[in-house]
Amino acid sequence: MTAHRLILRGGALAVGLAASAAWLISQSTTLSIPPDEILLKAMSDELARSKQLAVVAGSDAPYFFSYMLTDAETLRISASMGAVVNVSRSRFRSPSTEVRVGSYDFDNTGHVFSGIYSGSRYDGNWPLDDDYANFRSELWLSTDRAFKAAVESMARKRASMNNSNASAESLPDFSKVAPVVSIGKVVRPKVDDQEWTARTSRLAAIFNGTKEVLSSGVELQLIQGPTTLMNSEGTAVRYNDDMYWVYAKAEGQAPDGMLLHDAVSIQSLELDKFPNEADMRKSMAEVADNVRALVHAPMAESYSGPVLLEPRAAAQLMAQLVGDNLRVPRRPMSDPGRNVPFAPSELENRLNARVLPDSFDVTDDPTQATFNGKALAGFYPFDIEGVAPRPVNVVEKGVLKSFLTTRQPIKGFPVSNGHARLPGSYGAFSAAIGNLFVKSSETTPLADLKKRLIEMTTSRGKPYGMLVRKLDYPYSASGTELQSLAQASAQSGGSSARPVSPPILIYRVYPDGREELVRGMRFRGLTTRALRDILAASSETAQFDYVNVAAPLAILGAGGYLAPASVVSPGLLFEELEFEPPTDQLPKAPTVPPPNASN
Amino acid sequence: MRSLTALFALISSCACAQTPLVKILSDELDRNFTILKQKGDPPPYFMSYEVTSTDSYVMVASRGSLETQQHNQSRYLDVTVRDGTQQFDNYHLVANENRPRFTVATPIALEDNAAAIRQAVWLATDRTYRGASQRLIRLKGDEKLRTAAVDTSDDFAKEDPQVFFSSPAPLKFNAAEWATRLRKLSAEFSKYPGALDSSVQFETKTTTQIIVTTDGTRLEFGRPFTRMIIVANGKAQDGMDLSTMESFETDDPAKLPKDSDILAAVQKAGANLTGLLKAPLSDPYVGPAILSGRAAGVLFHEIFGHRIEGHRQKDESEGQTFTKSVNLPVLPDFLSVIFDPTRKQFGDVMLNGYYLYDDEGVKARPVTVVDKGILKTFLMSRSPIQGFANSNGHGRKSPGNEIVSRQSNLIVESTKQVSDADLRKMLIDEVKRQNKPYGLYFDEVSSGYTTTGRRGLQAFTVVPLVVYRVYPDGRPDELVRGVDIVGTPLASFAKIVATSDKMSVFNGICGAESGNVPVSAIAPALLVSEIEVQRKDSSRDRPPYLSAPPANLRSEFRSEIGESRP
Repeated sequence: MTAHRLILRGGALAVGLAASAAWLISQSTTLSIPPDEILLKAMSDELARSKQLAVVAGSDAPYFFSYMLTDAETLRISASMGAVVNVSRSRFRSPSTEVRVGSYDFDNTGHVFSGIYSGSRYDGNWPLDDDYANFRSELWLSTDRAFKAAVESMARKRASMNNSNASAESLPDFSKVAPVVSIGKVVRPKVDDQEWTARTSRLAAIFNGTKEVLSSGVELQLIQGPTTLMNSEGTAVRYNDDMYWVYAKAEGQAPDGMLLHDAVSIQSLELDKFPNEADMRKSMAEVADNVRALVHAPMAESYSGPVLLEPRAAAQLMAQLVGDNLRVPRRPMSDPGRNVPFAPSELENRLNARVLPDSFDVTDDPTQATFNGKALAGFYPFDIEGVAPRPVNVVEKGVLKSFLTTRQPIKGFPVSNGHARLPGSYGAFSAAIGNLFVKSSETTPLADLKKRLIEMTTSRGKPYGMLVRKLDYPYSASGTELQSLAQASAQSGGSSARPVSPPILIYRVYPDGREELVRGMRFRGLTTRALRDILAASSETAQFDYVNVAAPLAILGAGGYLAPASVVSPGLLFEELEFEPPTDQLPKAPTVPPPNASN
Repeated sequence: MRSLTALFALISSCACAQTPLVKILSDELDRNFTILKQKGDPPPYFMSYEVTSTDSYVMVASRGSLETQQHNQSRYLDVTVRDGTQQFDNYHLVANENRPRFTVATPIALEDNAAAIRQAVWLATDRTYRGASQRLIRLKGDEKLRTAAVDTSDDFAKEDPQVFFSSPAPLKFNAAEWATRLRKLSAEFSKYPGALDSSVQFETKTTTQIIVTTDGTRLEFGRPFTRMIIVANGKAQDGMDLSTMESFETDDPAKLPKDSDILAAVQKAGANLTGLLKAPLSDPYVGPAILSGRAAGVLFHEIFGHRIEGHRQKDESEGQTFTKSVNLPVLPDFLSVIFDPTRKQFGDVMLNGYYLYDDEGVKARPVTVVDKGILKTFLMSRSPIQGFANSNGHGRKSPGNEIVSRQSNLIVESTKQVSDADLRKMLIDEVKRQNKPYGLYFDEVSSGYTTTGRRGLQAFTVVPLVVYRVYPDGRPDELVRGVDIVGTPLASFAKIVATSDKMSVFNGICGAESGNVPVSAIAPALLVSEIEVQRKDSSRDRPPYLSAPPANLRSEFRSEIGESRP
């Protein structure tokens, strides 16, 4: 067995992991755990005992066990128009136990029924008290269930294999990683529930003054708690896994009935770095202003031509077109002829091909905690699999060089680069970006790019060009609108096209430089292929932070697993992009005027 | 008399004046109704707003550790809009079409902030009105294509407006004290290793309801509710999942039984589970049986109660067992069935199905559904059915659902009572007479009390949990597992021979079309001459492969939440 690698780095301090508390500096395979570390002790003891399952398992003996537990204290507050709608304070421990049977080369994952268990469940309610006996008992029951599920999946997988021709290439199911031991000290900064409740309520009152805003809301989530992970390979890590998050949404209705909305999400990994109330107010006041402007803006018309994305909008677009396509899920094994729900990456077969102009480099670096003095949201010490992330040069001189990987090997990438951040499918985790940096070696000031946009439109005889300042990403519209968007994208871009968040702030730029906001625009048939037609990048860059979730378009407020991320990008000038207005029927305005108007 | 006293007590504790929220809702109701009547096409003829406010604490402990601790406050708005006329409105039922739902539970501000609440109410009204008018226009268009319905009664009943204001006292809860108690009580399960999963769950809450309607009804009322549920689950060697359960309900945490009594209930659940895990499997059987009062109550609720809910008599997709049975015998002549939501307690047990007004603002009243075996009426909401034009205060729902008629406190009364000892003798005689090897005694059946907290309440099914074989030769009763009642249970009611002279209460949560509502069933034990049982379907996955881990509960290996960490 390889020696344990001790993680000691500045970044650990930055998230409150006191380096002095990383007490496990052991070269042996047995951990020495102080008696007051009850969870670690229980995990380690039950892990050792679980290996006895090999005796009952026959040919499908377990070869890998992993325990993960997040010990979370959460405060959630919703408010609307200056009044609190819901407050909930809860403490919970959410465990996850993984057992793999077979071997690294061939195990129970990657089958269409992997992870599905038909038996009954007796584990799942973790004690909140630190109680050794109850921890052991929960670990025992969850290991038993995960083991039975693995054996069941393995049997189904073997049966499917027996029925199909083996595929030409066969990849191992799980990669090895060097064990890591790093036990951080638990730090849980005090939060004042009443103060946060009052603050959320005050923030939500921002929308009261804007008569164009018909419905609005502010959600605050303070999530505090360390995550502990221990596996049978010798990895044992504990790190602070806090998130401080507030987001606001507002909706209005144009005279023709079209519903318009805007949203903002503010997140931080540390309470100290969470923006102050004045800054939050400012961001939310912009949302109110945007809705007001959109309600009075003219309806857009279809457009095809040059488009300039300002740095923030470009970062929002790159998060989707590049970021989301850097995870390459494996197609699960199934019975011949069975239809398997599966969303492949658009970049899957384009390794070493040009995906951006030569001047572009893209890296993902979750180890970086700050950028130009500002905290990055995508910093994390370990991923869901307990692997420390590594910086990855994704695109070099416009050519796709690497993907983001988990411990599930993919073609050409046999090992993890520490990017398992979200739950995946068929027994594997899903890779996601941390801090994605889009850089160009040739840049032009934004003001000059706008001039170039005008030149291009004039020379093509178009009345105006388009400028995009903000996309609806993370997506904040209703489920119905998402459905309509997905349908439209499937129609215009072919079956493989994924929906892309529509612009919220998009302007016509007239030859005299005047900008006119329009409403109701969507990208038409936009895929990663469009990135090759980028003409220029701006010298100004923007850092865009958001909370990624396991839902399309990182839907705001959806999903249990949260993977905060940052994208840094310059503004981008595209030779040609297409937009179209939605064709959905518009609702009527309410028959009864709003209550404030009649008083 | 008892229910009357209870009512006076409640009234005397009330402020008897409308609260700010009633005023906010009334103002917005008047404003929306007035404008929609003028400008709406079709215009509404009736509207109402209902707000359900809940303040609740849930705490769950398992084997000496706290597992869940939650405090939740919520206020949900439901909007009802009726467009058209009382004879034909947007709620009109059409064959082969699901019952419509127009309302969505809308969370509104917890404080009485008029601007925020009026805005939310206005938006919810607009959404509900759109849905209502759209359906009515469509139904009107389709009407020509349809044959006449069998039941041509109106869609909505006129009822007298009600005005009443009372609020339950604010919730008081000492979390630390309860945590200590629950840890101690739940630790007792550690003595029963077969209980793979066990818990003592505690919930205390107050629910306040406000109903304002365009008929002039202005109501605010509520109630406190506390319960404790004790659950143990295990798995037999052959894979069968088994569980036992005990519960206590009251209106005040201070009125829960003392710890020694609760501990006895924990021990009972633990001992029953241990017994069941070793018990022989039941065999298919047809023969005489006794159903305990609680088991009989649940059976009456499920098999009889749901079939006399008024809306089912009109809905052509329903079985309509009793639709044509009014004034005909449906039960043995020594049995009567009364639904009495005004009854607050039975003995010292609080009744879960107690309320002052139903969810349509109709005053609660006792309803004799079966009088000496003869079916007299149905449980009615404001949705009329043929022969029954008015509500009898049984229109119920949980937030986010549309009203249907639901049960309240079901009371089975008998004029053919014998002592429990005599009932058992009668069972043995019947076993001998039918020449059966044994009779069955159904002691406990499950309810919907599976979980509290995050996963929410589940619906209620009749699953016998604790069943004994009673032998005619004087051998001790023998616990069996895997019993499932089959056949047409309705037929079993005809086979009721006698009842006990003692009544027992089963409190539960009933889930159906209009959501989960609290109910009770009160019944004497029943002797039936014939019941049919089969072996229940069972999970086949085996118990855990490894034995339980050693529980060396050394004190230094424990720390409770709330304590500062080292």
